[in-house]
Amino acid sequence: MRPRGTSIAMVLVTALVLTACGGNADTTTTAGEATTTTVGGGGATTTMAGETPTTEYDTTCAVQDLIDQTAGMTGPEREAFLLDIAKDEEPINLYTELNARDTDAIASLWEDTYDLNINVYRAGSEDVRLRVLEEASAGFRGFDLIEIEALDMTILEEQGILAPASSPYRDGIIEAGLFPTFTADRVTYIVPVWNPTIVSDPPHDFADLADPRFNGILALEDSDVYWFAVIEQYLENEMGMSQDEAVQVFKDIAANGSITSGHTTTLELLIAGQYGITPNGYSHRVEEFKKENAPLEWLPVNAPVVAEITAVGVACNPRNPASALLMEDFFLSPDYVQPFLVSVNRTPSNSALQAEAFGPGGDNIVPIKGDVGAIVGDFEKWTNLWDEVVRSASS
Amino acid sequence: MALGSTEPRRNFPAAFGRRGSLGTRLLKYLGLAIVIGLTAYLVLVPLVFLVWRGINSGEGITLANIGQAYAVTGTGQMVWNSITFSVATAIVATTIGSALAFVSVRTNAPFKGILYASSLVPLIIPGILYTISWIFLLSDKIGLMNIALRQVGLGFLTVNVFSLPGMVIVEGLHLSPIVFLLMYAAFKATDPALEESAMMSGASVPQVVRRVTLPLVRPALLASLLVMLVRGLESFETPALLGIPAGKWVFTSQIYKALSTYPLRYDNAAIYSLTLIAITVVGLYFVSRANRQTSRFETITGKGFRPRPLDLGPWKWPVSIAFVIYFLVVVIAPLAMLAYMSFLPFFMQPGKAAFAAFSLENYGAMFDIPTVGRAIKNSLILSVGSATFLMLFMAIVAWITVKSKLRGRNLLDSVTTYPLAYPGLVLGVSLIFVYLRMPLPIYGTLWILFIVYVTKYMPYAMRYAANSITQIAGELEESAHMSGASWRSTFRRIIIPLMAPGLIAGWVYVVVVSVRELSASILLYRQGTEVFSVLIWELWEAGQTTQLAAVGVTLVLGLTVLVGIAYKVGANIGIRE
Repeated sequence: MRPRGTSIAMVLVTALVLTACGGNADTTTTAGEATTTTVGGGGATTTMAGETPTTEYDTTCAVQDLIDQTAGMTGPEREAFLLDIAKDEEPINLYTELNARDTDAIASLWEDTYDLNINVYRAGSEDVRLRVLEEASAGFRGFDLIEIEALDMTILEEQGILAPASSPYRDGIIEAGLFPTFTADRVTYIVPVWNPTIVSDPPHDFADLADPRFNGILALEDSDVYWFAVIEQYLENEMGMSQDEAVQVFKDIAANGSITSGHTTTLELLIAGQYGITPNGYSHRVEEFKKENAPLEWLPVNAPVVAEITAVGVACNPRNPASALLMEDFFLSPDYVQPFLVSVNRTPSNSALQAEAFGPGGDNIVPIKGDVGAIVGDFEKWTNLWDEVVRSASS
Repeated sequence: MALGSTEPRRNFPAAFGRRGSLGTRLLKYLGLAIVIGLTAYLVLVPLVFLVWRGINSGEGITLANIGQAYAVTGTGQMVWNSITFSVATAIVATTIGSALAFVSVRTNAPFKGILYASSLVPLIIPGILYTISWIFLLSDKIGLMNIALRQVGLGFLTVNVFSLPGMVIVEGLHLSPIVFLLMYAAFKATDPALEESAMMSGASVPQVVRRVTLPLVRPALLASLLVMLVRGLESFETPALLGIPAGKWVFTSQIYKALSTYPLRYDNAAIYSLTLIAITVVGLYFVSRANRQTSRFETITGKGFRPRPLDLGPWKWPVSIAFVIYFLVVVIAPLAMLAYMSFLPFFMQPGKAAFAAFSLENYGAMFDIPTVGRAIKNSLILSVGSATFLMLFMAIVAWITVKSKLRGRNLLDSVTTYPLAYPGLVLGVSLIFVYLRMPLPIYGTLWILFIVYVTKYMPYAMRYAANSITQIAGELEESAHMSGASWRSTFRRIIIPLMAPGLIAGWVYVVVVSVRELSASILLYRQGTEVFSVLIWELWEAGQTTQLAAVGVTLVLGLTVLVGIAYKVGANIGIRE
């Protein structure tokens, strides 16, 4: 018997068509035809297809009025002024990449200090950035304050999603941490780390990592494009190398061992003895392991240190503008989050508190400065160069 | 109806279209349209998004664009690695999973009772932990198994986990439970009378297996191979943790890279994903061609049917010993490694210092996480909810694709398989995109996560359902119909109970994997809708691997209990021995 009426193909095609038509997109960008849109009245502009920045956007943020009203106030004056308004707002929405344990502690500190509630969304920096871009493109006001890596912040800045940074506490922050729409609240040092039971003679300088004494025991973590770009530029600008020579240094180091995936896994494999040294480990993670008596060391540092910056920024058009500005200060003031970061072995961005974060030998580290904006602008180039290095290890 | 029958596919709809008033028939067709429409909606929304994002990134999906996506250094080698890895993994997983299922269901081997739950253990352990456990067991330098083998003079048996064979072993073992579940249901529905007849005619056990048992379960076997192949192609943890140090780059590393760079290369990711979908569709085409004559595989018929174990005879003990070895190596060893890690502050080689550092701190710390209660509750609701919905829903879809003669049924079958190739991140982004623009207010609720799980695990649910319905002869439906039963009551009282072993197996699978789903969940949850996998990710991100091991051990215990309950319930619903 022939089926009557219904053909699955027809239903599928209809669903497909409905789906294609159903998305009530604010914006589309098609090949050769760039269309932009203003998001949520706040002035943010994004393209729907990927994240290629568009050229025109309105930079007037809805929160600008409040920023203007607090201009010239001292920290405590601004705190009192904003708290008064924030009490009538809804709970603040914080998007962050900080881990659960520390975020929970910061959330409690916020609630205890101001008697204000908080909603937190936590994910990896890239995931947070992705979600924010998608939300902004749909005109959805998801976050009030965001705390992710500077690299991802730069992308949000380009899209006009962030308001100008206005905290009076920016004066105390390290110079490398100041950007137009966001401010570093903590830094992560990427340094060579070794297991002292395996490596008795740690590297004397960066190129020394290519020495045969590390052959077969070196582990290079594969995701650090930013670290690579900053050191590569340093080798070019400060050491007078050509790009080819600088990249070759990395290739020689990579040829000395294996490529690994994941910073923590790499350190664990170092502790377990699978590897003896890694050029790119997180210093704070080492400190945490060392507290448990793990055989890891990163001092003295005889190689250029790259500081990966994590920063806070206020949404251009937040649901809770006063709470957002208040929390920006809360993260940057030397009274709340900054000392807390020291207590959990992290490195705060406040220059006075930074020295406290390290033990003897760690307090005089001056990280080399990376041009985050330029690296983001050329990210594909850096990714490809890094890919060459990583692949050269296995060839 | 049994093997070798040439009875044609039953006319559709035997019990569906001829009866009832016009209104009733219209209602039935409306129901059918809703089922098909919903399937299409769930699958095609992310697909349209994937293609559209790919096209819209500036250059469109042209040949040049495709060429550029594949013009990455070492592409040839990467494709070759991917193919070798996934084919070898599929063979390992299918062989192990099928053998275990066969022995567990169809034979009188001792110890088989422990198999059902224990064989699922590798599936329950989060991929990243499972792989790390194997590094500590099989690494060339620090692997405990390798060290032990060398000490007893069996050094030639050592395997370096950082190599292609190492990757295949770890991934194959990790995936084997999926095959086990698929094949378990298939063997459960095989009429032993056929095997008994073969034995009576003088065939040996291996001959019976090769010439009777395996041909009977061919649809399930081929489906398992296909699913394994695609899973192997898109697997991430093993290639990342074991393949990259060994210089074995695979396909997924490219998708991951395209989605973690800036600007995001949606076009490249789309091209890679569409390639995976194309491979899946071609594979499915061959599978359905091979299974064309469904009645050949129908073993549950109107005749008396008692699934009875096959006497292994002299094979009984060798098989059992192999079983015990498998159990010790694949289940106990990684689990013991996890348990060992869970007592430590960080991984240490076993010894005095390690035992001195033993504590229950990691277990205590687990309950200090403020969101743990909520995450467990949400995950339980979502996994049980989506698994139950999916299995019932896919039972209907499978009935349409396997038992009906509806035009386009093969297309429907193929469409349900597409999500196998969707990267979780793309699925997450597509749902944010759609539901922030739709008047349906589900963004930030559990419903959006429910949609993720239902979409992502639809292909598996479909394979479980389709496999089990293939073995049910149409004469049972016809008998019910002749006795005056409506289609609905036939479906509820005949088909669903007969499909029960397959549906339960699928249910178990979906529950377990949806508890672990991360890449889409992490984009879509918010405060209040945290799920367990996000918690696992947080511990991983925070570098608390040993605490994660404690969570892994707890997860294995918890889910084993859940699986045990499902198994008991399933035994009561399905065919009783």
